[in-house]
Formats: sequence, structure tokens, C-alpha cells
Amino acid sequence: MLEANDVSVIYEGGFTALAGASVKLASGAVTGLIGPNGAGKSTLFGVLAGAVRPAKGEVRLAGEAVTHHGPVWRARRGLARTFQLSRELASLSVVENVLVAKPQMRGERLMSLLLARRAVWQEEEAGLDKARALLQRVDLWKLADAPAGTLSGGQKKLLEICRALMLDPRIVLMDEPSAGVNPTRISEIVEFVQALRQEGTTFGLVEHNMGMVRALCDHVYVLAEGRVLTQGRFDDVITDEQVASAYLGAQA
Amino acid sequence: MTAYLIATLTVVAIAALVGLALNLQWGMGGLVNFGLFGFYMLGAYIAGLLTVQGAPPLVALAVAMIGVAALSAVSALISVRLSEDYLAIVTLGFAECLRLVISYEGWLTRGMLGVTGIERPFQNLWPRGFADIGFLAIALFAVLIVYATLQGLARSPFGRLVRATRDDPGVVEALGKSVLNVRVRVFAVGGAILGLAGGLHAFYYTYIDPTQFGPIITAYAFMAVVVGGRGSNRGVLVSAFTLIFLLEGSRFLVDYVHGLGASELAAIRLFIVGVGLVVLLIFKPDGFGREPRSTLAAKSSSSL
Ligand SMILES: Nc1ncnc2c1ncn2[C@@H]1O[C@H](COP(=O)(O)OP(=O)(O)OP(=O)(O)O)[C@@H](O)[C@H]1O
Ligand SMILES: [Mg+2]
Repeated sequence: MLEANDVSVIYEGGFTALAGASVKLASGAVTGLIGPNGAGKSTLFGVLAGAVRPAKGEVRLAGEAVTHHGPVWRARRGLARTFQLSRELASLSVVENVLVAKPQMRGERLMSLLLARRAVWQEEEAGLDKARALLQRVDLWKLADAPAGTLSGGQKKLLEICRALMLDPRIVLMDEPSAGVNPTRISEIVEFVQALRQEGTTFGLVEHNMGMVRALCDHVYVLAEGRVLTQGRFDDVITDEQVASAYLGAQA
Repeated sequence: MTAYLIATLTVVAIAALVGLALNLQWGMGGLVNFGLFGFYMLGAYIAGLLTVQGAPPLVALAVAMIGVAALSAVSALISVRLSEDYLAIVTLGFAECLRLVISYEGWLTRGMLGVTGIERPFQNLWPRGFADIGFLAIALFAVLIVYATLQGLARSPFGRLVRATRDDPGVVEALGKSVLNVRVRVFAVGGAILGLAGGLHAFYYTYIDPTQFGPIITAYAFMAVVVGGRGSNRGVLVSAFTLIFLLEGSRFLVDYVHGLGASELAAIRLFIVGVGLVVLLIFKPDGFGREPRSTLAAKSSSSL
């Protein structure tokens, strides 16, 4: 569905964050990306989403090479993402943060605002219903009118998930969705993801919470120093000796 | 005194239009446009030159709005890929270039001699002696229309998207919406308003020359937006009508205070604007007004 082939990323300043990494997110599955801090997981998400240009390698979306297409193009084809450090639209209200993600809003076109006010209004109402359903699920509806910048850290992460889902995405990349989120809420996210996967949504998940990875991921890649160390089912991967030394060294 | 009041109010109304345009571009869109006065000047020249060529004033005004909107959009295309500080420099440079071209391409613009005999719209409509008050009515009407339009935009999904690009353009792109597209439209709409304001300037003075246009126009607009609260059209309108009214109104002091000339007063005004802005940024950095919202969930949930 979405794959990166042999991608390398060299950041300004010369640091090689990815050195020929390949991953494949299978359709309708949850694919995990784990590895130590600085392994290049978020960078790889950036490459998949089109925000980071690889120096080498190729990204394919539904079989088509999309390396030269930017994030806007990819998002329009159903690729949504959340960020590791929440990037809420701080001065917009919580509900506005979600509504702004609705694709193809006629109300965002000046001509329609003039000529098709009724359609714009109906579309807005429909969007609001959907945004409400999403926000109620993570208990943020009560803060719908608060500026998103005033939310707590965990609430911002939840808001980002709602915003990504507002796109009706076919693929969702979630970068550490559980960071700073309380345990009951995490199990709700897990249920949420599982339900969407049932409906055919593809997920990529970067996570340090191994319980969540175990519960969700059909397939796991282990990244270290910009390379894929190993891959496979979570239980197999986690007992791998290389992984133990690269990642879980302290516990092993 | 009445004549003086009418004159000041007209000038303030035109300045308020510039403030509203800046509030769209910078207040809502986060695009620093230091070149406001250049676009304003262009609007004045298009309207003025066309009118003296015999075009009906309203047609000239419409052409000025469309022309400045188009040029604004182009300048946005060139510069919005740049970061905020560069955009400020580019727009300022752009405005200075425009001023130089207008000053020295005399065959087209009559250069420093200026354009005289500009006809006002509807000028035969008013009885003798009421021309200025009639024109003030037109200017205030323009402010009203622009305010209502911008307020509508600010509350619309488009306005929400514009504010989103200001808060974090990277997120907007990740949501599949082109930031460049939004910014070009913001510059175009702002440009149309600046063209309108410039056109009204030409009509009001019936004479324009390059010395009438300078960075003070930009300074007033920024003051109106900062004091009024970035993004708040109402705040900008109120602050434009109070502050610029006071500043412009200070002209009459020349008649009463000994040794105070027009040029000293102009310098003092600029000084007051500067000091006022610094004081405000220290004590009330967000200004007085509040930005409108596209949606109020509280309203919709009560109907559940
Ligand atoms: N914008 C950037 N400019 C320069 N270097 C960067 C940039 N972003 C990341 N890096 C570097 O690239 C490396 C990989 O970063 P990345 O964020 O992909 O790691 P990660 O696997 O997501 O780590 P973590 O688990 O801590 O989130 C790090 O060493 C980091 O310092
Ligand atoms: Mg990371």
C-alpha cells in the first residue's frame, strides 16, 4: 500500500538520519516501527508523508512512485499523519482544528462563499457532526470552543488523532500517539485503531509503548541508526538478540 | 470646523480600509506586508490615470481593484515561499520599486508633476457645497462593505483555513491543502481592498503625486491592527477610527501651538505611533479585539 524503498536522508549539517531503509505498510494492517531514540523513525514517517525529501530511494503509494510529490498531494490521496511533538493549530478552537481537516470544503473557495451559501452551510453542519463524534470519543467535545493551544499535552495528542481521522484517510501514520496519554485513554486509542483497521484503514505506528505495539501491530520493523535491523511479528522480533542489544539492552 | 471634521473622517475611513486589508493579510494570514503603501499607491494611480483619460470613476475604481489584486497575487507567488522576515523585505522592496517607477516613468504617470483633475464618482449627485460630505458617505459605505465582507470571510471555512496557515503551514499541507493557494488568495483579496483604498485616495484629493505615498501609510495600518488585535476586524475598525482620527486630527494644533509647523507635526506623529506601539506591545501584546470564530460548538450542541 505504502512503501519506502532504500531511502536515505541526510539532514542539513550532514547527519545521516536514514541510510537505505526499506519498509512496507501492508493494506489494512497495522505496521509498527520501533527502535531507540534517534533511530530515524520519525524521519522515515516524514519521508513517507512527503514532508522530508530523501536524498536517495523511492516512496510508492498504491504501487505508484510518489517520491517527487509533496505532502499536499499525498494527503489528498488519503494519507494522514500525526506528529510526535503535537502541532495543534494553537489559536484555532479545538473543534476548528478538526473541521479544518475536512477535505474539499466548498466553503474554502471564495466563489462558493458568494454563490453557494446554502451548500457551504450544509457541508459545515455535516463536518460539525463528524467532528463532534470524533471529539466525543476522546472526551474533548467539552473543550470544543477552547483554543487548542490551551490543551494539555495528552489532549493535544488526542486532538491530532481526531484531526487526522477527519480526513477519512486510507492510511494513517501515527507518531507516538500514546506519549503523555493516560492508560485508559491509550486502550481507547487501541480500540479505535482496531475498529478502523476492520474497516480497511492502513496504519503505520511509531511507538515506545510496547504493550500498544503488541496489541496492535501485525508486523513490526526495528530501526537502528537509520537502517532496518530486522522485521517480523512482534513476538518474534522482540526476542531477537540483535534487537535486545540495540534496543532493549538495559532490560535484556 | 465641520469641513475639517469631514476631511479628517474621510482620511480616516481610507486609512481604516488599509488597516482592514492588513488585518486580513497579516492579522489572519500571518503574511507581513510592509509594502502596503506601494499597492495603495498603485491603486491610486490606476484609478487616477484612467479617470483623467475619461473613464467613468467607478470603472476606474474597479480596474484599480482588479489590477492591484492581480499584482498582489503575483507578488505573493514570488515571495510566499520565503519565510516571514524575507516576505517583509520583499514586499517593502516591491513597494519602493513601484514608487520609483511611478516617480520616474513620467510618460505614463506624469512623474513628479502628479496627476491633476481627477474626477470623483457621483460628483454631480450632490448639491453645491456638499461634495465633500457626499464623498465621505461613499468612503464610509466602502468601509462598511469591506468590513462586512471581511467579517464574513473570517467566520467562513476559508477564514479558518487562513488562520490555520498562519498558525502552522506545515500542518495545513499535511492535511492536503495548498498553503500557497491560500496565501495567493489572501494577497489578492487584500490587494483588491488596497486598490479600493488607493482609488478613493485619488478621488478624494483629485490630485496625486508620488510624495503623498510613504511608509507612514504602512505604519498607521500596522498600528491599527496591533492595537485592534490581530485578526479582529472590529478591533481594527475601532482602533483606526479612534487612533488615526486623533493623530490626523492633531493637524489643527498647527494653528494653535506656536512654532509648530506641519513638518514638525508629521515627525511628532510618527514618533507617537512608535512609542505607542512599544508601550502597547509591552502591556497588551495581543491588542484589544478578539478574533472571530468559524464555529461555536456551544451553540450547536445546545440544539442537540
Ligand atoms: N530537522 C532535523 N535536522 C537535523 N537533524 C535532524 C532533524 N530531525 C532529526 N534529526 C536527527 O536525525 C536523527 C533521527 O531523528 P528521528 O526524529 O527520525 O528519530 P526517532 O527515531 O523518531 O527518535 P525518537 O524515538 O526519539 O522520536 C536524530 O539523530 C536527529 O538528531
Ligand atoms: Mg521520533
